[in-house]
Amino acid sequence: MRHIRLTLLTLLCVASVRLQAQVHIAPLFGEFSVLPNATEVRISGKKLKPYQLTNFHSIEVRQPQNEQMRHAESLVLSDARTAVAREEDRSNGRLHYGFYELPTDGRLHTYIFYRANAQKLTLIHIEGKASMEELKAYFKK
Amino acid sequence: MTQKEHKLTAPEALALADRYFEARTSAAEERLLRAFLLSPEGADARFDEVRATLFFLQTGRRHHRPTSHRRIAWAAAACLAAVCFVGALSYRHFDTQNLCTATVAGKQLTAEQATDLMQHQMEDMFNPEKPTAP
Repeated sequence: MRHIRLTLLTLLCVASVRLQAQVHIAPLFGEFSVLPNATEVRISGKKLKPYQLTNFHSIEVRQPQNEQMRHAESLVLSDARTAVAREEDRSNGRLHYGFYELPTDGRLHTYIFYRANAQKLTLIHIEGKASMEELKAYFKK
Repeated sequence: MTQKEHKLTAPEALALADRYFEARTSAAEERLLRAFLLSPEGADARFDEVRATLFFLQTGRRHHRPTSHRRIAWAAAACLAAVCFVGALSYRHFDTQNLCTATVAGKQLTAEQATDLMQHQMEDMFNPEKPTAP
């Protein structure tokens, strides 16, 4: 009985581990969300079902400072090192945009989308069953 | 042993006592034996053991039978309550997993606005030449 309780407790702890704990970009959401020129969006569950997604977390910074862009870029590239699929564009040694699929246990896809310029920095971290092609089909015009 | 008479003799009671300890007596035979043990003939020391056992068990049955039913009923009620409690907790847990929030400059938006923002951000991500400002 004690072993069963311990197993159930362990499973509960594992199940409550949040998505952001697994990626280098996780602290960026907290750092940027307090800025007056930032927008943070967090959605999970029912609202994402039409897109075959389970978790959506984004942070958008308008007129980002250079230092903020460098900081975000370095963390994105840290996660990108282990990406199993990528699409990116760099100019003048800087990351203009990057779409990365991270390795997972095979049940759900995990993506990081990043785009930055002088007007706007957008970082999106999502998880779901949708493939990259399906996401593009939903959102690409 | 058949009960031709309602009143047992000592030899009959002795035989019945042996059968009692072999667990071969019926409820009616036990009642006859009990009645004999309460009579003057049953006060004999030969019947001490069966008297102690029979009346001890009778007392135990009187005290424990209702309690065991009560215990089972309480255990069932407790299990049901635990199941309902866990179910309610699980519903609350999974209900809070349907999260939908958005903040702009620290100001909270509605769930509908959050969904719209999500849509726009994903479209802008894949269509940078055609920005869709919300």
